[in-house]
Amino acid sequence: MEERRSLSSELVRGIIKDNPVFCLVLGICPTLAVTTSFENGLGMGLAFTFVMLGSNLFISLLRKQIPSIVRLPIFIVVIGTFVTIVDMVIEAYLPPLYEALGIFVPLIVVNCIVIGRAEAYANRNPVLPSIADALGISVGFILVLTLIGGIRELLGTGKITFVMLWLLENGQLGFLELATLHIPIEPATVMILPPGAFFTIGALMFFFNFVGKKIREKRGRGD
Amino acid sequence: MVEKELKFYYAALLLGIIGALCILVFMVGHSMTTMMVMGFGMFLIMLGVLSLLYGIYADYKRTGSLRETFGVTDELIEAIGTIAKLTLIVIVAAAALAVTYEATQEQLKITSAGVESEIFSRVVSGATSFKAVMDESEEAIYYEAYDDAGNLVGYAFYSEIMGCQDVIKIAGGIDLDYRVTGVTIVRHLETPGLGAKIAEPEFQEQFRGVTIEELRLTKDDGKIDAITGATISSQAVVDAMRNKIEEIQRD
Repeated sequence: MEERRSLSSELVRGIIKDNPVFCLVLGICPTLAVTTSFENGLGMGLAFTFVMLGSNLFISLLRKQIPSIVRLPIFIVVIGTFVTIVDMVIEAYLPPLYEALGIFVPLIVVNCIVIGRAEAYANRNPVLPSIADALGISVGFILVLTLIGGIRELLGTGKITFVMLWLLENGQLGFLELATLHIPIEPATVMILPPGAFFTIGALMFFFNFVGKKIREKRGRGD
Repeated sequence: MVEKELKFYYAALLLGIIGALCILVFMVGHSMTTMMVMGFGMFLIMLGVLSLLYGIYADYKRTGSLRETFGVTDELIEAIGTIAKLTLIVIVAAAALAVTYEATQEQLKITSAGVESEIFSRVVSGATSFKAVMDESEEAIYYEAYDDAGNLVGYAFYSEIMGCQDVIKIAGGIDLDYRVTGVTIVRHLETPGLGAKIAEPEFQEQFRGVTIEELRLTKDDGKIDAITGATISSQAVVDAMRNKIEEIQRD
């Protein structure tokens, strides 16, 4: 049955029905820790996407070769390799992002979403659906991270800064602030601090599950 | 009753152990006697090998198949295959990491050098190149700042101090009269909204043109206004600057 699903439905499933944070409640650790700003959330989400795609692709390619008795060590090695590559690339090319994400990039290795998808999906499905699954889950994760990061940054600092990248200009590196969204809000520092993460995630999780439940009730039966 | 082949295996093991012990004697002390003992040990090992070969031969004659002789079962083959696959994957992963490491190392150097001169040119205005002044252990104490024409215009430096939460690393600049030309925060983990304001221009601008005597908080008759609710963080930045400038003055 899994095989017959279309790729687009796989994609959408990862964003909505199997949304990693709000529905599967996986990967909460980075979600809580790095969502202090929109940008950090986006950076973490992109790093995660690369790892997720690479790991799903490789594990799905190797799925017939992977002996089931050592599948977990192999998953960890594959995921760890991609994570280390991302870590090294970010350190070399995007130092501000590297500083901001800190330990949480290396910690993608033990992110339960990646290993969960490898175990539950990529190990049993062909390459294309696995990539669609990885994309769906990643987009879902990015949406959640940027949403939480955006809310926390807006309420905590009163503005959202977007794209503060180190750009290479004639071999020189320069700061470029592309866009700043400013909304007159009295900043509540607590939103940037760890409790703010819990408030935001709790409120959003309630909201999405409430809406989801209403929609399912309208359809008549649980889907 | 012990099987015939098994006896040969045991004999081979025993001979091998005694032979190895005899060779070990030679390792301990080199002399004519120990050399003879080693020769004897080698002879025993050869006997052991012969006995092992004969055991295998007898085994083969009895079972009639090489696979059974060596006890190769399907599980063993599967286990070896598993180990081989795991090893292969690890080798490929290691190779991929080595390649990435090599590729990013160069960029990392450019990036950190770029970051350094970018930071320093913010704290010493007009300076474009920086030369490290080393101490005995080859660590940079401070940097001499030169402008485009190659004139010494001031000094730039890093300074670290314990802040409210964690170590704060600042970069500062002074001119030739030891007046502060600028300060910027390289790394900090102060409380967002309070101590983190040390990273904002409003706080850092106050340092410009301040002499070492005036480099204190207002409550200590200095010229720097502390951030409301973040005296410790403000004090830390001021102290980090003072300590380093005094160190450069002494030098």
